[in-house]
Amino acid sequence: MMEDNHVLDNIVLELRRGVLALAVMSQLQTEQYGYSLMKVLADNGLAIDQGTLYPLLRRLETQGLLDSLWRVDGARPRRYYILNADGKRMLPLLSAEWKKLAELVENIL
Amino acid sequence: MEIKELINRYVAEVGHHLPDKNRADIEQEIRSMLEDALEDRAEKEGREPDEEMVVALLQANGAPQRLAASYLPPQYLVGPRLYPHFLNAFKILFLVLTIVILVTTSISLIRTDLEPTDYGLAILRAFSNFINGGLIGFGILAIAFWVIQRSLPEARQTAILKEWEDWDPRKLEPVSELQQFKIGSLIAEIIINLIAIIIFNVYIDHVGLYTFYNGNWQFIPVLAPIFYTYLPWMTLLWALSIVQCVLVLRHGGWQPVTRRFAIGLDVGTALLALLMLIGAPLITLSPEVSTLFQSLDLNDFTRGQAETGLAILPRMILAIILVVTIIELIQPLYNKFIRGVFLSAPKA
Repeated sequence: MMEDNHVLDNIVLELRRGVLALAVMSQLQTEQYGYSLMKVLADNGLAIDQGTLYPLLRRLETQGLLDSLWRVDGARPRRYYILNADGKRMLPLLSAEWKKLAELVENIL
Repeated sequence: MEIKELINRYVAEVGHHLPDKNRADIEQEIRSMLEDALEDRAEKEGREPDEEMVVALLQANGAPQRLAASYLPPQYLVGPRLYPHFLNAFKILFLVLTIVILVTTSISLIRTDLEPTDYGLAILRAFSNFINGGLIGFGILAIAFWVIQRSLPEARQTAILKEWEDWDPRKLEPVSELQQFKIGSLIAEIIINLIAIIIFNVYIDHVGLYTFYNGNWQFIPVLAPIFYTYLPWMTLLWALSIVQCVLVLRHGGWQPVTRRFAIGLDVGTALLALLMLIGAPLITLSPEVSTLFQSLDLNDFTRGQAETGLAILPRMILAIILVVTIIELIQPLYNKFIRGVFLSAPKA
């Protein structure tokens, strides 16, 4: 039974990893810093830890989909992320792909 | 401990495991994130941040090494795209090393002043050199491929991967003999090896020439004392051959481990055959043998030819065994390793 839970957890983790990039990009149409983005996603039911989110943000930035800048906000500096032109062009395409995939899986199930 | 000190230590430890390039930037981001998270926790718990809260936050964040690893791409010594080539290179190294050890050991034994124990020591030394050479070669290959892995551009690695997509089913290897499972031949091999073990260990004193002379059967021993030096090794190889056949029968077919076992056995057989071939004569032409040939009413020339033939017969048998064993050894290795490497080499 414990082994089944472990297997289930791993597969669920793989499923979630597949949609994280799309979920993150969807929330970066407005400027967000890392922790605020994490809270927004958690409030929408998609909990994500710092060790996953921050490397993902850097990866998306390296891929040319996000822009970032450091800004001193109140007591501390924060790094703000936002979709750039390429990211804004990519987002609807990814959304369409996701909807197609969800429909496909739904039919199979 | 002060709260800031805990966070500083954590961030510094994460930084130790990051490359220089983006270290400062990542450290600053992690620090900012932790401070935000701490502020959030304090607000939810309705109290000021303290050491206990910071410790709980850092533990929830995960070990510094783990957090640092999440920022890095997978670190390979030899990546999945280069691994098949690494494996092929190692197999070629193994083959070359085997041949070199066989040749050098044989050359070192082409001496007539060696004692029987020297042969055993030579074999042990050959195994030791083989293992040493294998380990050194493996290490050098691993370092070379690590350098290639680090320096090869992503585009070239993708090109290597693309070769897997451009494959032709007609170029697939034929199923080798080793993969086919012939129960009859395995059982025959077990029986023959068992008979050989029994004859040469229990009835060794009865191995020789039998003649019907003067109305009586006469036995003439022909085995030279040197033969008895080789007998334990021959017995060992026959026994190992039986073990191999039993394993194949038990598994219901050839497995990678039994294939490797077969290769090792062939190498041992070839080495022993070579030693016996180049060593002292295995047959002793005693005066009784000469008397036997004289009794056959042969002329001197024919008698000389017969005695010579008898003397070299064991060497001829050993030479045949050696050649057949080497062919059996090289053929599947050629099909699998050299043909697989050179005929499917990456396109430029």
